[in-house]
Amino acid sequence: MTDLTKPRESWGTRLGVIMAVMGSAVGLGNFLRFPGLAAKYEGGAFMIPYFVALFLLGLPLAWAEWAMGRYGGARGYNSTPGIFRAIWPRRFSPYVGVIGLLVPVGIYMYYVVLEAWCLAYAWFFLTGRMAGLGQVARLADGSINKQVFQDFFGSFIGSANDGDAMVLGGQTALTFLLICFLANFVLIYRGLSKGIEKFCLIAMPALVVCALLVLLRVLTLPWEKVNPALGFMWNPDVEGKSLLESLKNSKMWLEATSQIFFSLSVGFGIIITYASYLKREDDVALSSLTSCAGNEFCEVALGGLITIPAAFIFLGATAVAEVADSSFTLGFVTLPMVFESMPLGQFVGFLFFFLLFLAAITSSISMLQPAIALLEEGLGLNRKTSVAMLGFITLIGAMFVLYFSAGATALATFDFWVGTFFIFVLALFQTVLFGWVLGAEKGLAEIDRGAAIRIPRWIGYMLKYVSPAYLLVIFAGWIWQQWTTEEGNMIKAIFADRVVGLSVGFIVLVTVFFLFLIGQSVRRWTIRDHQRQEVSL
Amino acid sequence: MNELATMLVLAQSADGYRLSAGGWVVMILSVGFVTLLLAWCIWKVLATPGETNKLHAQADIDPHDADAE
Repeated sequence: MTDLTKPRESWGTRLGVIMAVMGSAVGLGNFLRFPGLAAKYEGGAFMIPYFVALFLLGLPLAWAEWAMGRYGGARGYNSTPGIFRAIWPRRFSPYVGVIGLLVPVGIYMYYVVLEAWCLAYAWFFLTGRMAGLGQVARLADGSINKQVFQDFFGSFIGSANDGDAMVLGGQTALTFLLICFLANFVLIYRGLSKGIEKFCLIAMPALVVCALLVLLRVLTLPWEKVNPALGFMWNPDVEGKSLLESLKNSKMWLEATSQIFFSLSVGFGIIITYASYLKREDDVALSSLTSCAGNEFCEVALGGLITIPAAFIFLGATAVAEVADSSFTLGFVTLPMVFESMPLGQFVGFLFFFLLFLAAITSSISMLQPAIALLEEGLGLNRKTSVAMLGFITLIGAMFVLYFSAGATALATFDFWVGTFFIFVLALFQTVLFGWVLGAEKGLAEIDRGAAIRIPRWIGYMLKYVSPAYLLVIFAGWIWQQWTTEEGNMIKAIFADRVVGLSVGFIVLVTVFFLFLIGQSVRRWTIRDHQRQEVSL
Repeated sequence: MNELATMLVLAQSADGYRLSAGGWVVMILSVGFVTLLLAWCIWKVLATPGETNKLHAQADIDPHDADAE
């Protein structure tokens, strides 16, 4: 990894640095999760809560996390429980940091499964299996039978029955998962991120170029097909449902907010951990903004213009919602159909899914760092022991997600509770921590240190008053909806659906484990503090 | 015959989604904003001397412990 004290010759050109910052933010959320959610919530209407969340929460909170992380790092803490303790020295504050461990580790458990799907699809394109599938799916009039691709994907992930994906040997989801898990484990265990970083300097721009090629292909299809597809994605009102009616759905606001958090890695505990290793003179303001801008470009301008319009063109409006049974699955059905209908589709398909796999692996590697930081600084374990312990826990989690594959229920449950609900809770706590405990003025001064840009002062007021109020209103609306409706009720599903209940039970177990570790860490920190006090006396 | 009927239904439902004036506005504002924001960030980084030494992403930040083993 880069030595922050040395000049950045190794990064080559300045553009290379920008690409690295952008590439770091790009992941599966941009090309798979965002389009899935947009399809679920009528496209254009979804963009309104999405951009509101970006302005009110995403950008301000990203700045706040970078600043709080560096603030905690300067006081000797790198994990979220430690950083929270440094900012708010109260008994309970480190325990709230459990969410900053649970979210990245919990997301890792299903993210690595998605990574495996990307790798598998890259392999299928490379070896010609997708081309073979395309031949089977090609109808006499030249169009493509969507059912063939849907069935193939459903069979691959085992969406019919639980346990269907747990077949070892051959080109199965389990085989690819084990390969991905091993690759992640080796990279993290041996601290070999340097190689993959350099590779990503080339890979990320290539992913963007590849996405631009696909975009060109989608937008150059006959206009009578493209027009309604773009309308589906961008029209703020849809037939039979007004914009106001769509906006009344509090779950859409919750999920749009969570998408901003998921995509920008805000409320994860990851940025705050990594920022704790920065130097005082580093520019957190422009680093954060460039990263967010790169991410948003890939998500809205590329992800938004590719996956949904392609899905609409090939599947039709009704089927889009049916395919999007989990937020992530849409791209695996629609994108192969796009590749199948374009020149050099086999090569572009391989390149796209492989680069997506690389983007995913750079993200997943960083997901374990918050927990590693706690195990190291709190319990005094070395990196290898910490990684081994986390590797064991996350392997069980990933197998759990893969086993309960019917309807991708376990994946969707993890994504909702860990990838939405807890991100939301952590974000709320962090706005309070920044705006009220650290203080907006002190926080803004921390953001300004070493920065090439001066962020507007009203961002401080936003983080102090508007952001927490906004989060609370959405949260209250969601609770009310859960209380009053049966459809999509996530709380009742815990007791009504066995797999949902088991998934939530698993999340609770992991939480309890992390709380125990934090308890041990707090004990060590307290002893250390007493010893320091005695020395100073 | 059935296929023809299905195609007609699909065509009708597709027409219902034709890009409206509001859709054009949302699309241009959304795509335009994210593109301009990224362009501005790139310009700012390139135009500020020494900025590349101070710019970081999580991928290039060293958590110190990695090299300790």
